[in-house]
Amino acid sequence: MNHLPHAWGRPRDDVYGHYNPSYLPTSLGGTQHISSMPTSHTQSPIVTGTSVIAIKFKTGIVIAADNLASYGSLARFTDVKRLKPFNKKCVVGFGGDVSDMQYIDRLLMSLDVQQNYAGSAKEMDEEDGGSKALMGANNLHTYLSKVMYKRRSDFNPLWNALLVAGLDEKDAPFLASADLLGTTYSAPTLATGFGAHLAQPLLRNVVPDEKAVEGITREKAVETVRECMKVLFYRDARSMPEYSIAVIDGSGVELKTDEKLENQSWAFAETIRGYGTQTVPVFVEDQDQIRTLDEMREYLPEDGLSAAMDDHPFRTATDPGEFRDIYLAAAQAVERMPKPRQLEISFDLQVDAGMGQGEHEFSYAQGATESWYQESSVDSKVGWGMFPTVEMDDQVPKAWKKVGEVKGATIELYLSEQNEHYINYRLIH
Amino acid sequence: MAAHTLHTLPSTNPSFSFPQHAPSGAPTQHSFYPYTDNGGSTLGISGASFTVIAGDTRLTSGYNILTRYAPKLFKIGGSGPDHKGAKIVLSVVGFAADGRALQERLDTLVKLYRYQHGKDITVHACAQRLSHILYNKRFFPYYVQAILGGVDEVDGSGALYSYDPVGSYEREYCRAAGAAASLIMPFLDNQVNLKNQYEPGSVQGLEKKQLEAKPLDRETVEGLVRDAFTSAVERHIEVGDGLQMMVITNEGIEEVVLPLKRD
Repeated sequence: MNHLPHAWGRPRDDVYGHYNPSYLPTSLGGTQHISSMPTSHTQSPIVTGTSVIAIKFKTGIVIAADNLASYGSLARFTDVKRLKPFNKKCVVGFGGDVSDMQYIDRLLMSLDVQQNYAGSAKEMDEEDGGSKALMGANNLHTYLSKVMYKRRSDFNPLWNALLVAGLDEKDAPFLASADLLGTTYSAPTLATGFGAHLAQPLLRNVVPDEKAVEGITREKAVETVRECMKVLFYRDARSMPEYSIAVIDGSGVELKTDEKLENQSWAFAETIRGYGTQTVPVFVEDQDQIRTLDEMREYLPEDGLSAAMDDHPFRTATDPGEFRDIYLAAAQAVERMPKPRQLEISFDLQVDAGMGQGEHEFSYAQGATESWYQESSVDSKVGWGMFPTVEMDDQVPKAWKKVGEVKGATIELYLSEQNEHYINYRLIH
Repeated sequence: MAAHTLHTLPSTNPSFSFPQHAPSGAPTQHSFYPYTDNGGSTLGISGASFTVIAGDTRLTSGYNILTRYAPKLFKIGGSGPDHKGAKIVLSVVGFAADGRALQERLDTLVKLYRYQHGKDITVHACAQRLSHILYNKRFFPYYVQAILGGVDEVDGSGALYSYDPVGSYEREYCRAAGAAASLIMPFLDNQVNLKNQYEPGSVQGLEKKQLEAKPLDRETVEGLVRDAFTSAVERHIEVGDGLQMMVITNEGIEEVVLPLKRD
């Protein structure tokens, strides 16, 4: 990487040739005098927020956005609230440039003052319980879309994609979008940015058209939006697991700004090298340093065998990849032991009868064992090659079948009785 | 040097999914582009006493469907926000934001006309006004193809006008615009203007007699509109979801929305 900040964000010299600064002012190495340069407005957003998603339900709207403001690929500000409530019956969700969002928020504040201190509003307010005198979400959306279109027509865009959610003048749910070009549209589900690709199809599954909105409860809508936020966090690299969610219905705006994603599952990803912080087994060079089982633990993958060795005697491998990694971890642990080896490890393979689909996983494990066999040179009493000898058909006894045994430690692997797709293992020592 | 080797590679340059800039020469200027194409298609056919204007309701951005219901047809004039009593329809396709802006301006002007003159604007006056609006903004055009429809006040025939983005306009019997215009227009040429259709008994060669186009009846026209769109939906990804159709007669405007394929 180039350690000179000056070069960051510019085309690489080795790829594109020397950067041509002629269009820059003299202070930056160019030939232009500031006074002679044309006015230039925003040409690209700087600090940005990612997707906003929203869905209509029978009596209202749910809208959500995460709390991250990115600076390019840098997660710069992690506590930026991108949902802005307006007058008790609207919420505006902002994607795109954060400074433009803050500008629009100021516009909204002065609009709110104009609307609600206008005089007659207050009396009407009390007559009909409050909400009808307030500016409806439809009118707020019209206002914002005019602002956006005016700015794009001035070639000075507000670099945002907005979702306006709330209740209209008749207290019916209203959801619409406006973007930096002034394009406006409405739909029972909307998503901006990455969400348009990832969340919108999921939302449309739940609410395919305006008619389906009647059948959606508040709870279902909230659950759907939370699920979408999770999917977005899984796949959108400019997202974070803390988010804001707002529900707008007849009872007002319920805005929560510090929600956290729950029940995330990285079961598939954790066996893939390069995902997140998990460790996939790596050989340790200095073998002589490792002497005991306790010391060995340090070198085991955090999320793999060592977890099994400590607090959780049982773990469930949910796919062949994880099953294979357990083998490799154990194998490498043994390999790192100095010779003559103090520890012998074998697997207690316990197979349930009627494996059915379990066969696939099992044969996968066999393959892994064999390939391990080629790579290492462990001489333990009970060979790793025990696996291929296990019979794969229905004749395998129902009782747990013990394949091997060791003095120092035992790893048991067995196919779960409840679910043939699952493979459990544990280490006893 | 890496740059050297890179640029002396054989002419089979790899292709990139992002724009490649020249390594030297003029500076690259990134700039804001104020237009986009929101897809969709519109179509208008005029008859002896009516005009039909139709458009699909899909709004797209690239490969994304932004919404399945965004109207491209707007009533112009009449009274109030519901355009009560309106007898003119504007359809716009292209850049949706410009389309809405154009529709609002024309609607305001037509309403203002009634306020100032105490009578409804005629279709041909409205058509010329629309041309002026577009032409006035020719250096920063409304990026839309407009079609205006109504009933001619003089002879009661269907009136249909089509426009380019800078205001050139023409009264026609039929016109397709937008993404699938190139798919629909030849079909209309053949079915409405009877192009390439000859009298069955006429001799081959120079003696061939072209069939003469006559105003179609309403059922035939509505059938053609539906067929044109169901076919366009099959072949164009930016067209689909719904078919909004307005029929303008002397009695007023009838509107229907029919389903189209949503794939």
